[in-house]
Amino acid sequence: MEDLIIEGAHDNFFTPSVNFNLKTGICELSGESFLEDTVEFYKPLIDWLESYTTTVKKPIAFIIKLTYFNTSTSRCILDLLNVLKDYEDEGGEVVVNWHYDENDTDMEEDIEDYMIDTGLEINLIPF
Amino acid sequence: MIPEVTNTLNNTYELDFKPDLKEIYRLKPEEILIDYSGPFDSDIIKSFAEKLKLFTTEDQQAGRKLFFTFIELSQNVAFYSNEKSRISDKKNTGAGSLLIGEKASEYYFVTGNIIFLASKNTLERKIKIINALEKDELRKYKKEQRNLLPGSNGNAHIGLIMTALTTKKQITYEFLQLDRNRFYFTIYVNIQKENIKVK
Repeated sequence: MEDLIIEGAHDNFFTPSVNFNLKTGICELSGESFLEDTVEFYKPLIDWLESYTTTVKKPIAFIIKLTYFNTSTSRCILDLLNVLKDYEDEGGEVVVNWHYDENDTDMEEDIEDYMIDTGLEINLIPF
Repeated sequence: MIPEVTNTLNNTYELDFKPDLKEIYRLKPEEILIDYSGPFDSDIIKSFAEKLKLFTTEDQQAGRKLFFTFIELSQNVAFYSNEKSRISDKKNTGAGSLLIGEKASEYYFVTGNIIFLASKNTLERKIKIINALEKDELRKYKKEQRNLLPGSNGNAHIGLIMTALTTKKQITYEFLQLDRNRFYFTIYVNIQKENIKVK
């Protein structure tokens, strides 16, 4: 198992940056997310987390710094958070920090809805 | 305000007639910033979305809402329009029309595309549910729908719900009948400016 690193881009779409670090357990997702095939893009991220939580089993700090994501992405974020929640339920140590623009009340409400939906504690960090 | 547009099977448009979006929503030509008809491929959606950012630099909150809803509804045209455009040897995308405009107190855009009767019925049912719900109920409905398995194209079933939540308004829409099985579907989205310019 290796680090998962994807450089964000603004080409035909908005590709987010991904930096999942095997050694530190710090997993960061940042930038903007509007993709041609959202499910295909996020599948390796979900697979990586599932693999980490079943084999490495160390603490995870999951950090989201997305300034924009479309609704297809929002479903994939739910899948990522559900993997983390399952890990936590099995005794894994999980911290989720979600950074968002303090004026973006729509995103703030969406993060609250993710908390209700997944049962996962998410630290809201306005900037 | 939605203009009264009535059509029945006895009063249909000709097959290749496309309604004028400006006429449907009584928009003034001088307000229009972009008037486009053609394929809604990713290049087009992204380039118009970037332009929206430029139009709204003075009002970030309104700009963010406009950008978000614009991409959702443009993707709906790309995925669900029954009029297809060929964008490469192997790929088609949905085609439709778009107006982006600005009034003194709001930004707006309108999308229009052709859909078949079956899609019209599904869509109309969903919009009526959305328009009948209060904000808290809409958030609950969003969570229910987002938990469903993603649809084809990876869609999360919540583009219209998020549009209503983001704009804090009911969805303004029209179906104009083109022939027995085809409708011209339009959605009008307006976002109130927070920093209203005094002209």
